[in-house]
Amino acid sequence: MNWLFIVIGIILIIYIIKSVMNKNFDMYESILWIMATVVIIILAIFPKSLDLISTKIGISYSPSLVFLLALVFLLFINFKQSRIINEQKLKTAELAQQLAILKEKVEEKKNKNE
Amino acid sequence: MKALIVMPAHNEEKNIGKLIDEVKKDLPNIDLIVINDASTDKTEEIVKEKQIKCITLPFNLGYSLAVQTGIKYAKEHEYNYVIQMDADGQHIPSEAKKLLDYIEKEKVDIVIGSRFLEKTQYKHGIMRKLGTNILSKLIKIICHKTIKDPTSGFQCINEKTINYFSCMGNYPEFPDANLIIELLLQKYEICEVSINMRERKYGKSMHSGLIGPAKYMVKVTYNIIIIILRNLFRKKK
Repeated sequence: MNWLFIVIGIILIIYIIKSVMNKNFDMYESILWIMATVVIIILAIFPKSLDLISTKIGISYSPSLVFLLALVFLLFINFKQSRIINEQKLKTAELAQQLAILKEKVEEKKNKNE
Repeated sequence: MKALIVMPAHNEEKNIGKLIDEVKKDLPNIDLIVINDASTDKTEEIVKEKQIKCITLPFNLGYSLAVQTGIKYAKEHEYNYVIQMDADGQHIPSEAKKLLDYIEKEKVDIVIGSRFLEKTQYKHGIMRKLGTNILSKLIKIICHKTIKDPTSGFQCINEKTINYFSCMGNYPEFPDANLIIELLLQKYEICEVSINMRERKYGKSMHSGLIGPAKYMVKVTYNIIIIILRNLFRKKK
């Protein structure tokens, strides 16, 4: 049992939940991060499980399994955010176009009334 | 018949004044709208001084989205035809008449103003010629249709195409060969008309340098692959 990492994990979970309560963190996204933190805590409580799993899937140096998991997790989040950014980009462009067209319309109406 | 010229402009204060005068003189019956793509110079003031309608985008959206803004405007105001014309002075306003006459007579969906159908004075860099040839070949292979100048931005589109373009959520960054292929695969009719073009007087082309054109080719080719795949799946459904 590794007390240091258990404490770190618990602090992280509290911090994430607090962020969600303050509404500056997306609900769904926060679940992913909490899940990652839970994994850290589980590994900290049962460090032997890491060796067990790594020998099962054929990784001879068990700490590299941690790196693999972390990498996959980060890539997954990265990909997801990439997609969200693109979605946002399309929406902003659409908004900008609509705004520009509306602005022109309003100005024309104004000129007609004057 | 209602026709609209859509002219996207980004920092074109040196070219646009003259061009607007030319349009007014040569095409008196056609409306003109300038899409000011967040210019930082006097483009907007010059356009308003000439009593021309101007849509000013709140921030820079790039050439293709500026064009799409104009097309959306055309849809809202129920125009029958939209002519896309660059504001850098390369496209000659009097030539737009040819496009419009052709699209009205032949009832096609898109008419492209082509520089290479007949021998014109327009000079082309080697790299650009190569790129254009490759894209032209690609269209020929995929759609069995000869489009000699797929990168020409001087186009006239009809109502059907206006509707299609204005509703596209992902209007491509470069609306060239990829868009032509997408429309050809959906049985739109596209034709070319030979026109003259001028060399630009001020400012740089979007496709200057070495990395720019390379990026352009990669993006357009990638887009074409996606379009073909999308079309395959659509057919299966």
